[in-house]
Amino acid sequence: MKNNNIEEQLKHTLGNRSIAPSADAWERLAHNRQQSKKGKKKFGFFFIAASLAFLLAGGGLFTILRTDAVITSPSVVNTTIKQEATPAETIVPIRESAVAINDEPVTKHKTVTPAYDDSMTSAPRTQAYALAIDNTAGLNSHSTTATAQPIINPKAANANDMYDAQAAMLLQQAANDIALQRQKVKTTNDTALLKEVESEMTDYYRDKAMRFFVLKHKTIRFAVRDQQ
Amino acid sequence: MKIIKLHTSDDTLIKKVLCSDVKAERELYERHAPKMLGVCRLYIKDLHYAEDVMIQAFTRAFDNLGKFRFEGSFEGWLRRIMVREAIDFLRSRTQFRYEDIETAEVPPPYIEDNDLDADLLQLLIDKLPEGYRTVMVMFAIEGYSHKEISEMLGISENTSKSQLFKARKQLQEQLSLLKRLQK
Repeated sequence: MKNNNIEEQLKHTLGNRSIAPSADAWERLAHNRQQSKKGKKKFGFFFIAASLAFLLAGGGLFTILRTDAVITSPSVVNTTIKQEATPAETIVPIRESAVAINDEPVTKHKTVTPAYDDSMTSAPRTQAYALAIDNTAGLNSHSTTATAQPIINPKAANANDMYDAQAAMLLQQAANDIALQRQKVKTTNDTALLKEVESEMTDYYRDKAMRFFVLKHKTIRFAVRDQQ
Repeated sequence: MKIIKLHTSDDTLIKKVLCSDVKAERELYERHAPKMLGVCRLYIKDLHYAEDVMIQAFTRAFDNLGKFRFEGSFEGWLRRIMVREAIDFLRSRTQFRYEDIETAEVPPPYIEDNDLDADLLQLLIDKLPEGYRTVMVMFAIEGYSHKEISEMLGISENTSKSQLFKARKQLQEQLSLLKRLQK
């Protein structure tokens, strides 16, 4: 049976049709391949370069932020230290004053005690009263300090706390010094730069003026010589 | 002395190409280029343009050879790339004109002479407008369904059917004209 369907004939005849390509077709294809490979290499290079730049920028930003954090950290330390250091600061002078009071004769104590009402704050006042009471009992200065220790502050008497407070104070002082030094360095640098620029400018204008004067002097001298 | 040249399979050649073997690349090209040029020629009237498209499609195929899964035939995979490249070329060069018409079942044209020359058949195909020809070739020769054609060309299924209807009608007219001329 004859198959007259043209579509089937098209498929049969043209579907497997081969046409020989031109001689230079392979060269053109090879050239295209090289170009695409170069493009891929270029893209790879740019990708690496871009990622490196991104990493560097990220690293730089991180270090900048980190240094900022380091600068701001002393202020945080200051606030915390101040709160802890206040009891230690108040305790030390009280103890000295208490010892000074104890050195005085026992008979004078009654007259001395009202003086505390005016000059001292409420907490030291109570401590001083306590010491005064101890002295009225007829104890010497050494024994009064011994009995006064638990009355002043048991925590302050702890050596570790004292060391901590001292260390905190030292740290605070160091941070303050660093901050002050930085400010000083910055200002000195700016002023030094300004001074340098000013001196350069004055030198420049002085030279210019000197040259102008020399020129004028020469012209005047020549004019005088011509007249003679 | 008789030299027996052993046939290397496509898969072996592809593996070699993937290892940057230029000789294998050339062998693969020489093996498939004539058939692929025939495919491109079906869609593009000008042989030079068809060759350009074939070279471009081969470049793309070699660049994406790593994506070939060794599941189907390499020729089928390559043929698909050629068809896509030819469609892209036609789309970039001219605007496709697709006309929607009332779809009607038109049987494919019949001819008395069963042994038409390939060049004559090609001429008949070339005479069709680009839109008709593309759908006709994809449907009749490549064996794509209307759904696949519509997806590849970005048209509706009805448009694809109407294009085929018009192509068949025009082909019938051309054949009858040829018949009259032969008489």
